[in-house]
Amino acid sequence: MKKLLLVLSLILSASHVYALPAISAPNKGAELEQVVKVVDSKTELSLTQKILKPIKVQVLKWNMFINREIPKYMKTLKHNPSWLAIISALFAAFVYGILHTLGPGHGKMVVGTYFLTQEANFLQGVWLGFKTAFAHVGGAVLLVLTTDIALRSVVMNPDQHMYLLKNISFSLIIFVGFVMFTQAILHATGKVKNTGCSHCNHSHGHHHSHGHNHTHSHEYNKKDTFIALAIGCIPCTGSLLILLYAMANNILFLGLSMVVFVALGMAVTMIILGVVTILGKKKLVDKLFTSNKHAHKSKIVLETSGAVFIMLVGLLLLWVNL
Amino acid sequence: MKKLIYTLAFLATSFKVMAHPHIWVYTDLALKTEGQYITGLNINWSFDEMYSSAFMMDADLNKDGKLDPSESEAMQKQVMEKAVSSITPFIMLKFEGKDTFGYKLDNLKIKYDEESEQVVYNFDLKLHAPRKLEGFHKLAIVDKEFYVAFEQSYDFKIPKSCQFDLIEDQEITIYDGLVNPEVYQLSCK
Repeated sequence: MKKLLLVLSLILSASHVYALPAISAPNKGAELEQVVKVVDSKTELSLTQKILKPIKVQVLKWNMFINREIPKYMKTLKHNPSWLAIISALFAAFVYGILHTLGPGHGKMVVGTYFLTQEANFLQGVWLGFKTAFAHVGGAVLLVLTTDIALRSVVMNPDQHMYLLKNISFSLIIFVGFVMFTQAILHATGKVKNTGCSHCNHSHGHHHSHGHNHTHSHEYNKKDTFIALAIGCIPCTGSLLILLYAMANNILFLGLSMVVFVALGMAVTMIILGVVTILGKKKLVDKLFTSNKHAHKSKIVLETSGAVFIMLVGLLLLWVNL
Repeated sequence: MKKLIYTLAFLATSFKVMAHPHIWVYTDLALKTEGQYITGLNINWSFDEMYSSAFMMDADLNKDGKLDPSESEAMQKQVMEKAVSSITPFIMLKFEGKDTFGYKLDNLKIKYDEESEQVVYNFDLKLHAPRKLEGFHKLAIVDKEFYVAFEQSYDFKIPKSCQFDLIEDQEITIYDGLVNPEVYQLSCK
């Protein structure tokens, strides 16, 4: 039970309130102290906050720096598209992608929980990172190239204009959680043997010899694709801005190349997250759960908790957005 | 020890740092006074090139790369119609410790500077009831979501009897405590 609590606390540590969608701006003038948080000097920061705050502030500074540099690189591309300018702009876009993915959002939490509670190998972690990043940037490309809407208001107020997409995204998260939950229940009842479950065949006297193991990689791929879509289907506003600027200045091909590099940068962050989580699961969680006599039960509880947690996150996000 | 390292690795990869802002606005303010009273502000916002190009895609209907008077007028009308949600939430005024909402926005002029590739809003904020100039006041233009970053100018035009500090106000924070927004602290005799 202690071990389960440890794992759940790890999952929860990834789910601070700022994973929730931003609350819309008030529709009238606002009191300074109501809108911004007044710092109470007596409030003690927790140890985690004390450690993380300077790192967050530093990354925020890098983020602000690169966000400000991107227009300069694009201007140079427009006026003097030399090889050096192109390479510099692509590199800046790559760094932008890395930092952008460290930003607020529920994606990392969902991916982290997913890998922490499901069986996955490193290749799957890498593949999911790629799919998520390209789905996120691909949405922006589709929006710019195929629609004829007032993009000015979209970039100024993305929350309002991406309302429907957000609802789809959050519903997909609930759906993925539900699929994971169903599989955990089937696993618990012995109707499905989960990939990597070393206890299924011998720990409680029943066998799963109905030859369905071959379907697991397909099932994983489907879940994996749904997760990538769920997280990535809201178009990336940063990429949207790059593409709009490129379009307006007749450097669309360069803009598209830049957003590919933004996606690669995002993929790197997501891959690191996925791989570290899988590594952590293999070295810590699996060891914790395989070293006791209730290993099978614990594993099922872990799978079920992860599924319920992802469903709850999806429901909460949807509820806040509706 | 290994377990601790892995636990920390989890935490390190799961914590969230902020990717915002996406839009930059460079602001210039001028305090408007009549005698010993503050009657309002003149506010100038210059948007960054990226947002400006998105703006121009919608505004520049004849695609000549300029904002013609008729195009400008159409955008001014649109922006003013939505001022309550697109401008007002960013403006925060505190005169002598009291928050003030009693004002209207007027005379919005939108221009496009072709050289700097920036869209510029200039508008007046007119207080319904003038406020005493004498005293201590706080003025801020802030987006609490930090989606828009407002960069304040040190060239704040104020009467001679006043002085100001532009400070990162440590008493207030936005964005999960990571940012102390810049606030004008104005004191007038």
